[in-house]
Amino acid sequence: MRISSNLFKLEDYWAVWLGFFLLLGGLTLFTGFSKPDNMDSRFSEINRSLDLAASQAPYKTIEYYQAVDQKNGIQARKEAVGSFVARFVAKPQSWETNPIDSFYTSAAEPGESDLAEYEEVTAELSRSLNAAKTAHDKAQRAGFKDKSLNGQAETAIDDWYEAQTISSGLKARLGKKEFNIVPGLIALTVLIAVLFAFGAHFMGKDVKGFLLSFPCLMALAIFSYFMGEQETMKHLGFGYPAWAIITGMLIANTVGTPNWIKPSLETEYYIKTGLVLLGGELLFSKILAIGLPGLFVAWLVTPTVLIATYIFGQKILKIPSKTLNIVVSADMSVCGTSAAIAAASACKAKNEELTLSIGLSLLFTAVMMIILPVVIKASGMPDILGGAWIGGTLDSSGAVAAAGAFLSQEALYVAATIKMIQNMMIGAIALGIAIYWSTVVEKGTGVEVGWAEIWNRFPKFILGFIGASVVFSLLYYSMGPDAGSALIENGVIRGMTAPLRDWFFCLAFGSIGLATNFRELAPYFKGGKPLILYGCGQCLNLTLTLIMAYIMFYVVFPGITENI
Amino acid sequence: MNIKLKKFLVLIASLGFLIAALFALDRLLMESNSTYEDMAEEIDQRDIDMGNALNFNSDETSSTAIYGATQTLAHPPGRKPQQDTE
Repeated sequence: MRISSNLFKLEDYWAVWLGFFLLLGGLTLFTGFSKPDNMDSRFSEINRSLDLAASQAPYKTIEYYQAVDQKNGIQARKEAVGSFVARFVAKPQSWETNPIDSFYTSAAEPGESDLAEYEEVTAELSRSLNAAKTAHDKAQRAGFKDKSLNGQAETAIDDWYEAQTISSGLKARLGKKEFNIVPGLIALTVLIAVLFAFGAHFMGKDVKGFLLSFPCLMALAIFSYFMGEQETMKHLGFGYPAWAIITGMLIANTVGTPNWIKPSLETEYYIKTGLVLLGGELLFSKILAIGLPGLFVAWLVTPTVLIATYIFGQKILKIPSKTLNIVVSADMSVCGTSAAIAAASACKAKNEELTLSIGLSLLFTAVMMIILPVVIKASGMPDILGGAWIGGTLDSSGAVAAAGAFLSQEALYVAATIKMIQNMMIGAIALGIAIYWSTVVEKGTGVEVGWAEIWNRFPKFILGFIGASVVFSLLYYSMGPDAGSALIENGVIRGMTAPLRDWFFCLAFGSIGLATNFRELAPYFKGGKPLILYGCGQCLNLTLTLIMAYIMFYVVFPGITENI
Repeated sequence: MNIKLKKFLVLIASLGFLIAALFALDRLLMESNSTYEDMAEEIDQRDIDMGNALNFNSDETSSTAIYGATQTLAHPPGRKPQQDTE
């Protein structure tokens, strides 16, 4: 009876309702109105071409790459309805020197220097295509029995593909269509405000105050995205979470956070709803297709490092706050900010603890993103091992992609894959932390607490988070990998729910910043213990990941490594 | 000077200082560290969106790489053609 009466009163449940409303709404829009024409027959045809191309040589041929690209181009978010929704939830765009480029760009004719660059790239593409064809013909004439010729052909084809990627990117940049995201941002502000106000009404919150102050919080979120999208900020890994928290804190500690904006500073509400959407992005069925080595690296090392770091923090460093300890440990061992948010919500950590943990993550990621590739190159480590090391230890996916791509395409494959597998662990880890906190930490020693009380303390939105993951994984599985990729991953998730989730997290970071006092943050950093915890945990992470990656990629599954 | 205006100016100055410091750090790293420079070029070239955090699904580079990896496993080169495809 109490549960049913709480269903429309508690924030946790409202996070689940709103999250599922968006997930199911997105699913209807993308699978019902944005399904690519003749999708199934097109996939069948391309798969036949792919199998044929795969059978023609012991390496990926030009036709193979072309078929993969063609297949990857079939996406629901590129159809009319899908692209409309994707534009509606779009964030400010990348910019370098002109801030207006982030919001509006007119369809300008390319300049002379751009055209000259394009001609140069096109000439290089043509040269590399001829070289690839020649090398392939030689290997083919030898019946693919000459390993040296096969290797030369593979390298030449890889070079051509790299040139083609650059050429396509440049072509897209030169042919950039006019865009204006300002109307979309206004509409998005209204949509998010109404959505959250609806739940706030049932929870008995100040709806009028919320609606009036929300546009200002959204303006802070837009500013944070805008700054994070600047090229120099991207180089430094200084993205929207950092800008939202820091700008919010600067406002709070200079002019002060005005009282009238406080009704919209619903940090937990935004985070929990965002986490339910994040659950929908964790497609378990997809990782089964990726292979075992990465699975072992991510799923054995990550929990080991998390638990070891937490114990180290409690027993050796004696960190006074258990919640700070677990948030920093999860942030460092799993996948940075997303894991920190999930862990903090699961153990009900304070905002200051989450802020500190995210700050440490951003700092270490920016430094490690540069140091790791230098160490890998200097030590002559194989690219695949280096990629596995990067994927298992760098916190943010963007940094992983940058560092992996810097080494080689193969390193990028491995790094991005391991990161994705690691990201899948967020749900299980958040659930584990929530159960541990409800049944052990909050229970206290020598105090008997009934199951009803444990249930009361349990963060219910975690069930929505896990439920969303299970529902979307089953849908993906039932559709098959091709349709699942086109409609779920490259449809509802990337076209709608993932950008919305990012907006919700950005609003949460802005709220955290606006509610944080510098003086309240300082005690958490006393003695530099969180920094020591993060540093020691990361050293363990680096060591174990490297050992496990070597064992899995070169001792246990060398055959899989050869085929990457 | 009005206290509110003073506080507002402190806010603007703090933000300006932060931005200037980050630009200076970027320039310093560009000049002193070739890996940083190469990495920055890589980021520019591939236009990795939101190269910071929470960007798993916004990051097209990772997504394309993972898509390529799944296709390699589903259609491994050197394999005989199958009668029934996916």
